Amino acid sequence: MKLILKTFASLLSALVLWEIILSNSVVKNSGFINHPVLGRINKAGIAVQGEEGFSRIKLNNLGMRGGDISQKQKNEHRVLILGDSYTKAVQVSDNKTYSYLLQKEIKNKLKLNFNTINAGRDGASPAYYIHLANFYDSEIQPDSVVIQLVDQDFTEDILDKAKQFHVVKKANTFQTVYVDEFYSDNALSRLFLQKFPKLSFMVEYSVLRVGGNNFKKAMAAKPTHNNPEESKVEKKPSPDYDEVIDWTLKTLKDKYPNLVILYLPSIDNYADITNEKPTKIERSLNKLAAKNNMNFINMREDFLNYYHTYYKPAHGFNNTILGGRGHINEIGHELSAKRLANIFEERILK
Amino acid sequence: MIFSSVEFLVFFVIVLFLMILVKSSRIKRGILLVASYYFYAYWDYRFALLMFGMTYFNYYAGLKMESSQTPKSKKDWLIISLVFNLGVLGFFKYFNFFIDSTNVLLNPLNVKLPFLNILLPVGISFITFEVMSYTIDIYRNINKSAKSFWDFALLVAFFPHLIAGPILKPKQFLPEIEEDVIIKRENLIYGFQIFLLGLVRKVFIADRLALFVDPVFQSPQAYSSMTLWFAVIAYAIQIYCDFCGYTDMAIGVAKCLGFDIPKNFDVPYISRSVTEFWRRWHISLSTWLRDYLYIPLGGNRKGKQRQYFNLFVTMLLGGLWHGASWNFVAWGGLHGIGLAIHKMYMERVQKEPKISKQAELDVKRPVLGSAEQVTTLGFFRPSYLTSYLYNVLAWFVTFTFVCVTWVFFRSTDFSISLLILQKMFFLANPAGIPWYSNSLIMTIPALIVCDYVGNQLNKGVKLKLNRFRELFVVFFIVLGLIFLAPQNPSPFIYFQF
Repeated sequence: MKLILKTFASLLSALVLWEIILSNSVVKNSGFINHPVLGRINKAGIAVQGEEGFSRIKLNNLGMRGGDISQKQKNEHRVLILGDSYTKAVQVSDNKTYSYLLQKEIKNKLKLNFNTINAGRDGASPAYYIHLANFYDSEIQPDSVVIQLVDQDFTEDILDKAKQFHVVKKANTFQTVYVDEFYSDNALSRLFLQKFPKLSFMVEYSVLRVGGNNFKKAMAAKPTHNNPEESKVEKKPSPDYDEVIDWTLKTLKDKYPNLVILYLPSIDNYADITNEKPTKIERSLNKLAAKNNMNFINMREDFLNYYHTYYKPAHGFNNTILGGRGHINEIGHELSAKRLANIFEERILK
Repeated sequence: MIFSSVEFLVFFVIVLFLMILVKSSRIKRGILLVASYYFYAYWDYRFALLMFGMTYFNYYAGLKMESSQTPKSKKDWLIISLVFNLGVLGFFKYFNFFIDSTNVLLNPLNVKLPFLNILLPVGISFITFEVMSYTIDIYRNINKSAKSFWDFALLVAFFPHLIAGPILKPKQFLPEIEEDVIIKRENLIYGFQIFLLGLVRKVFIADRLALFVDPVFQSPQAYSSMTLWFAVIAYAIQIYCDFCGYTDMAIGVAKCLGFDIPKNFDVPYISRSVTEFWRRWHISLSTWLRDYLYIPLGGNRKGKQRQYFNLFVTMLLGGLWHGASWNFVAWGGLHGIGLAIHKMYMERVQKEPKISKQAELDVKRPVLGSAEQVTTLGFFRPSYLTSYLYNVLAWFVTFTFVCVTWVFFRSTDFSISLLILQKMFFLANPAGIPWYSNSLIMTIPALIVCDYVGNQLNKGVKLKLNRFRELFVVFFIVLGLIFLAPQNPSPFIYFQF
């Protein structure tokens, strides 16, 4: 009996110690709430992320990065920045995101009451921005809007029916859909929310979140082999995204005034970088943004030029699986902020 | 099925459970043999058939050698067994390498020999060396043949050491198999701790470093010289922790089952010479190469020049044993040259004494700080050899040499090895992505702790697991493995050999 008690106490103590370690270094989740309009969003609080880069961030009552949004002042120029995890940018600290750097740059240069609101949301796609346009307009009252896009928005997310906001094709056009009864993107959270709703608070514990996810991956993972035959994957012809991209750009332009599209390309720094070619999505975006006469920033040249000059990639962190891949790093944010600042400076001075 | 997988844990628990249930040692050995074949056939059932064939043939050759009436007949059987074993190894491992190399030579004649689609059986090199040592020992009268075929089959197939060693000496291990197999609680506790240490080395250190090493070696042209140096050092640690981790797990599993497997590593990266490195690294292989290759080649018995040559040839073939590629030949050859140079150096430094009256007195009454001290071999050794600075320098040179040679071991292609070395030594454009993965910083202290704990476990110091503090340590480590394990487990590096 004594040994059982000792075993239980030691296990519990080890779990507590790991909870402290993990929640301060690997992951701490503030939890989730269901917002009547925004859907399932992060609870206000502190979140820690250390698996790709590192940050300890504050989340406001709209699940956005930063403090609560104040009433808009009379002389304020407010920029709403929409995007996915590249914009939320939990990989970098608060003062390194392109959203913050843009605000700082304009404030310093033009001495204006210029504020940016980072509404980046993990896993978001243009379906979110289109569906929530009215809410953002009334709640945030932006003077300008920046929407950040990546290839995955179109190849994975926008048409994904497992997402709370997505797009479906109706006749010759598209339409956004909001899934009211939505649990979570995360399988572990979904399991708890569906099967054991009363225990779902446990998912907020880092030990359960990290341990559960790792255990699931360990069960599913097969060791990687160096056999090239095994790694051959049959390449399917990529579908034509022009239609959905065109509809997205037009709809975004209609919904948001003074819109700037910021496109972040993924660049493989390991391949022969001089032969790095734009993806199909990127080519479509370039073409259709020009056709629709939109303010479109493509960061490809900036990222490549910087790499060629300093041999430092705009993507990836020292602790990521592949240095030079993954989310944009401090360099990527800085370069993006500079390009955006040029546009806003020009626009404001006009 | 790798030791660090959930499948293996389930498999091992079932085997252990059956071993506890059964009373008869004979049946226990039977269970172990079936389990070992299942473990091997898990990769491919054809591998098990091949292993059975090799086992049967060598057992038969051993019996024939033992019953030979004349030395000639005994020698004939040895030659037959060697030709058979090396033939099997050569066919499965080196045939396509041979064809490839021949095609390069025949290229001017526009002749191209076809490749064969050969599946390389996992651990074939280890199995071949294991069965070869059995027959050679019988030939040399070091060992008698196993009491039964099944005992020998278990020696070869014993799953803890089957895939990547250590290569067991039949003289040591056969008596263990032939004794009663008893599962003891203290062995289980001790074995579990050794296994856990191996798991930490593999999962926490080796697999984590692989996340940094793999991409850098995959595209070395994209990275800066400094990153390549870091990646090479990281690989040195990765391969040590991967292989030593495997060995720890093998020793731990065997211990739980009541068997003792000798250690295969002895903190190799503290070595101050290549010779010392090979006394500490992959001990079972270096011992095998010494006993079955270096000594038969003449060892140090045929003069200095021949000794250097023997060292070189032994290591060259040792390199080739690892894999059919010029990279391994270069790696082995460089170590052979390193060993020969060190031998020459030591012979120059440790000169035979010119004994003067005063020196004789000094030897009898060694004076602290005197110019020369006497070594255990009776040679004079200059005092600087024991100085702190000399030792640090010797360690640095050895470690750098070992790291540089790992480039050949890790690269997928000889041209890639050369590219990496050129970039490392600024012979090519050193520019590239400066990626300094922090996994290296995290794992070096972990490596030091693991080596310290490993040393303590070797000395027999173990946790008793009935006190809060010790249980806490074990739970903390087990949970740490779950929380900090990389998402994609890598296979053991030595499985490919």
